[in-house]
Amino acid sequence: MEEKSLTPIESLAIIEQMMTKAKENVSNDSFYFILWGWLVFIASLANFILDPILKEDASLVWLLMPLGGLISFIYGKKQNKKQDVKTYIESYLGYLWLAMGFAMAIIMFVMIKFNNQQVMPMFILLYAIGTFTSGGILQFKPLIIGGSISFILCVVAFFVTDYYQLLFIALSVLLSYIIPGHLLKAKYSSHGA
Amino acid sequence: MVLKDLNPILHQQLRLAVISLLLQVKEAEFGYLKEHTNSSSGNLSVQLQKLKEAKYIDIEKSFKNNYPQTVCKITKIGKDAFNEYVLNLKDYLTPKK
Repeated sequence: MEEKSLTPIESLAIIEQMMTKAKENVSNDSFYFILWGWLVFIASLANFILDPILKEDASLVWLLMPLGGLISFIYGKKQNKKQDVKTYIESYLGYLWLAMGFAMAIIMFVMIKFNNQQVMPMFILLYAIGTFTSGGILQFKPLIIGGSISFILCVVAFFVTDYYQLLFIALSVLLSYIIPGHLLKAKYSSHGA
Repeated sequence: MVLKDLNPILHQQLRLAVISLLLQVKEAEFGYLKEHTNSSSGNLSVQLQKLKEAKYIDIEKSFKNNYPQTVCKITKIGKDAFNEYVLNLKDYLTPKK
């Protein structure tokens, strides 16, 4: 671009052009929804199926979760290396999910200590908040819808035994993580991003 | 109606493009700005320096994977200047009575 005098119309055109370019750059966050969705889905169903056979030991399937943490961490590092821009949206989502992580850790370690049977509905509540809010930030309806359904699932889950709560967890992540995650991925790949 | 002069720092193709991009992101690397504005490294460096001197942007130089990295961020002064520029631009574009 060389130095030359701009007309106001040209100025506007530049601003507009740059606005569109920056918009194309929203990063693809579907990876995390798909990863965590499938991990939790598999763990909760495996727990449900194995429980009659292994009893208490069936809950060992949840050891899959630290694996998810590790994969997320490595993936995040890699993305960071590739990225040459940081958007506000990413920053907001980062804070939201960091808070979610804290809340989940608190529920897991504190509530379990008090022998609380209602840990799983609390998790569904967090899934609902996280996906509903992410959907709002990303302006992506499937996440908003999935999150809304999880709010309802959370209420119902409080009234069933913890064995059947496992099915509610699976259904919640299917509707609020897995399906929206894959839709989000498809949306980005169709944009060529 | 008297038309106000457009801010000369922003009233330049590449600088205006850079500010418009930075306005929408938290921070961006030199390569991102270069790619999206279709500019040469030399020219971009010069214009970034001018924006920095006007305190419209912050430039942070560091290393990433052993490569030098330049990260740019718009400042409050830069945002205000851009808003004023757009308001003045509007005056030019609205039909005069």
